[in-house]
Amino acid sequence: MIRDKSVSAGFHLRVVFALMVHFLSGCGGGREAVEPEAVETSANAAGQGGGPTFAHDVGPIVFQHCAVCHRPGEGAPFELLTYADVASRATQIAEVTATRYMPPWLPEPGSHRLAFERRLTEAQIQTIQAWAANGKLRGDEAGLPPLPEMTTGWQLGEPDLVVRMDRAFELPAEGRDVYRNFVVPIPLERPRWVSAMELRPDNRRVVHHAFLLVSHDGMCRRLDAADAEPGYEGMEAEGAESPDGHFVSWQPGKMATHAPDGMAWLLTPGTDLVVQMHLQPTGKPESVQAEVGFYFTDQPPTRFPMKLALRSTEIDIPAGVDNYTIETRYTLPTEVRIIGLIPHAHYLGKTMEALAIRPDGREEVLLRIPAWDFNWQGDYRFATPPLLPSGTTLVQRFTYDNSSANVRNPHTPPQRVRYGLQSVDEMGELWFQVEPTSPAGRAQLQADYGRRALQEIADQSRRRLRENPRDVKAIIDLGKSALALQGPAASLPILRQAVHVQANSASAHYYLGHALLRNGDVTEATAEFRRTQAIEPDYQMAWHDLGMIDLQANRLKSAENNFRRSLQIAPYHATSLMNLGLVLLKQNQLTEGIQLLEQAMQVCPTDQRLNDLLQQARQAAQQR
Amino acid sequence: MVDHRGRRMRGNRVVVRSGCGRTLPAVALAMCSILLPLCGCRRDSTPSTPSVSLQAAVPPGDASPASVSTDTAWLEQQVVDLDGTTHRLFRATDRAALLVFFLQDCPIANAYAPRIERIHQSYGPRGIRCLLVQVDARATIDQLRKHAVAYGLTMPVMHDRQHELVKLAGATVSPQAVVIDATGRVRYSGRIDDQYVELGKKRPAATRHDLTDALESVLAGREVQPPTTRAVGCYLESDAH
Ligand code: HEC
Repeated sequence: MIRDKSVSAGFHLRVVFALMVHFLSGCGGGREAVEPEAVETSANAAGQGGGPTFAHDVGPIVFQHCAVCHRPGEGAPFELLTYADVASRATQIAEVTATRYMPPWLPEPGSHRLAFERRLTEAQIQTIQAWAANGKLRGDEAGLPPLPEMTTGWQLGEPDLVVRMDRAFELPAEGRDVYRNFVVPIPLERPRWVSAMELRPDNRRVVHHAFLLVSHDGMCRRLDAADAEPGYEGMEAEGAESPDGHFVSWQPGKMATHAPDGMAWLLTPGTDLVVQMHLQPTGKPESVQAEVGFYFTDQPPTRFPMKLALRSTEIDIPAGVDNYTIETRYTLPTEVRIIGLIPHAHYLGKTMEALAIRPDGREEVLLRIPAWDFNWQGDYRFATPPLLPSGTTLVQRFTYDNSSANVRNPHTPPQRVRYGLQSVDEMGELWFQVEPTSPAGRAQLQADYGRRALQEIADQSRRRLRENPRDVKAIIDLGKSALALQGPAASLPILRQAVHVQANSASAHYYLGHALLRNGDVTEATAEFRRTQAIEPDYQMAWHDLGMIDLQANRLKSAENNFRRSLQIAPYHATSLMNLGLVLLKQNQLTEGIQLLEQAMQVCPTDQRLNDLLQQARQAAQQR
Repeated sequence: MVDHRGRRMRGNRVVVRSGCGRTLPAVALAMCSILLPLCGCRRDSTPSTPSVSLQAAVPPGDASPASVSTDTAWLEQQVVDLDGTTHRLFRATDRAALLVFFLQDCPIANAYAPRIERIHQSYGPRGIRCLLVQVDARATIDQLRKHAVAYGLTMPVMHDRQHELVKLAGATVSPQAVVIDATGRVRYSGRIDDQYVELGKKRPAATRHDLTDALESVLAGREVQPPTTRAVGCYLESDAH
């Protein structure tokens, strides 16, 4: 679902005056809008004597809580808009509301109210039961409230940009559910701040849920091209990430919303949109083609939330075990507001808890899902983001049922199931969207959480290597985390091993070169970058690092060429923009230098050093 | 409601008509019994199950059936398809009849359409008369025709607007399969397979194929075990029309 490439695929080198490792996740960041709070209808279970009626009691509940999905053109299978619609399904409606299957809403109430909650009260459920059991009285429909107003087109109005899957995907009439990732290029001439994205599948019946993701490096495009049908398979969209820390999920009936002021995120030209859809066969051949509307704003962001994940990649559930538990914790080094969260597991997931234990020991339930259902997953956000002080421990506690009593178990009979991205594997992730309350806190959280994420990558790589010692990607990941956590000397033997295991791996050569450079072995580093380019001429980071070597040696013209080459390949690579700007400043080309720093600033608005450099350059220009 | 030819859908144009057994006078009844051998009735009765035994097939936990089916009621049942053609439920060569009760906008029933069609394709030639019984009184003939085309259903489709077959079979859910042997005895009533466990809860794939197991038993002259299962789907409201 959501994978954070900035963590899992490594970190990028950033240089101001000294080399330092930086998480690109530090750039931008933001969030999705807070949805308007659902307004409770209070249905009076008593009615006017003679038992509940449709007009007085049941109609208002259905209009408020069901009609948004059960209306023409929406995802639900039939309409619930009139007395006849509801009366003809009274028994079923009584059952699905009593089991809380409908309206679909997995969490139980916790310590903090969730926005957009779809949950009937016990009284409302009882009203429906009584009505269904007592003759489904119609009542005086003159007293029925009007149907709530519902938009049929774009919920947020005409978008600034609409992109569409170039072909429809043909879903067979039957078979297992399909998880598919559709890659859609976004035609953009300049970077834009995005305040909202809205998904509109043309055939909502078949789309059970969706996530909107982005891909910056063309990887998803390649995966798509390798598959003859539109899109590519996969429950976890390989190569895609959630845009700049935003969670954008879609389920039937979910309202699209604008980000509040100050929380737009940057979309750069060349980025692909990845629409990940969970499609359910309906019994007849279906086709689905989705479009996505983008809403832009000219207001650069001023608030920069971050994404944190608590997760276990060690999941290993023996066959037959019905209460396998994972628990992970992270103690916040600074005060944050929790904006929202996404829990994620596959078909063995049973219960989920997200807790916050305050420094004084008070425990709060951020989210509690008593019966996980993969089909209804999505993101949750708080009506009012809770403020958690520094020292609060976030806890993820998930349980799994790998017995045959779990009817969703993908294996019959049950088999040992381990961590993995396929639908028959299991996952356990809890993503938090948090907003540190100060810039210093943000830097602190970035550094602290970054170390933790690197440690996780190291641990996971070691596990992968135990299974396959020649897994070159795992060796490289281990080397990268060693470089960041322990320094170049510790990483060199690991990365040399990577090159040894797979001599034709461009990234093995690049990261070895990078570690050598950090270690001061410029000549050897240069040789490794040349080897990288011999295998993959457009390996962008190799051009960037060669530029760094030139910059350090004050070979400005050559540095400029290398950075420009890097930017040809990745025009919005913030570090290349910044370093090219620096080279130009050093060559006294102040105007273009400042422009480049400004562009870099747009991509990485929270970078303090970059900001300082830009201020210095502007002062220098004024003194001219 | 108006049918596809613009006529009002009422009275004798109801698409399912009860046959001789229940409503017609004695003369007609006698005629029917003369016809019985031609229908191939009783050919399939097994020694262990006298042909006259009456069984109401009621899924456990469901309300009691609206009426009790009798062997003659089923054997003499006439049905009218979407084109207005009247058929006997059983024809001379039928070894058993399979009725699948179906609400055309029930997502679970629709998800089963390809399976129902496959059963028709493979068991039709083996002497099983497969009929789809549409029970939504609000649906039009035109809608039901389009539905059958869209879902690739090629067996005869009936429109049981008055829920006569529903009552005769004691059907309570869509989709629900009812198998009646050539003696007029209900041999199986319940789910098609066990993929759906309850509303909103399904297995990735079925692990028990109750309906085809039942058909095999009937064809082999064995008792169906179990003869009733609980079908999961949309409830057939008794007063939906
Ligand atoms: C968020 C959108 C949404 C809301 C709100 C919603 N439904 Fe549904 N409902 C669905 C979808 C989608 C399905 C189809 C489920 C599937 O096929 O997996 C469905 C299916 C159903 C079914 C058929 C169950 C089945 O398994 O066949 C019933 C009955 C139902 N809903 C009743 C209700 C009632 C009553 C309410 C309000 C109290 C309600 N729904 C609110 C989206 C919604």
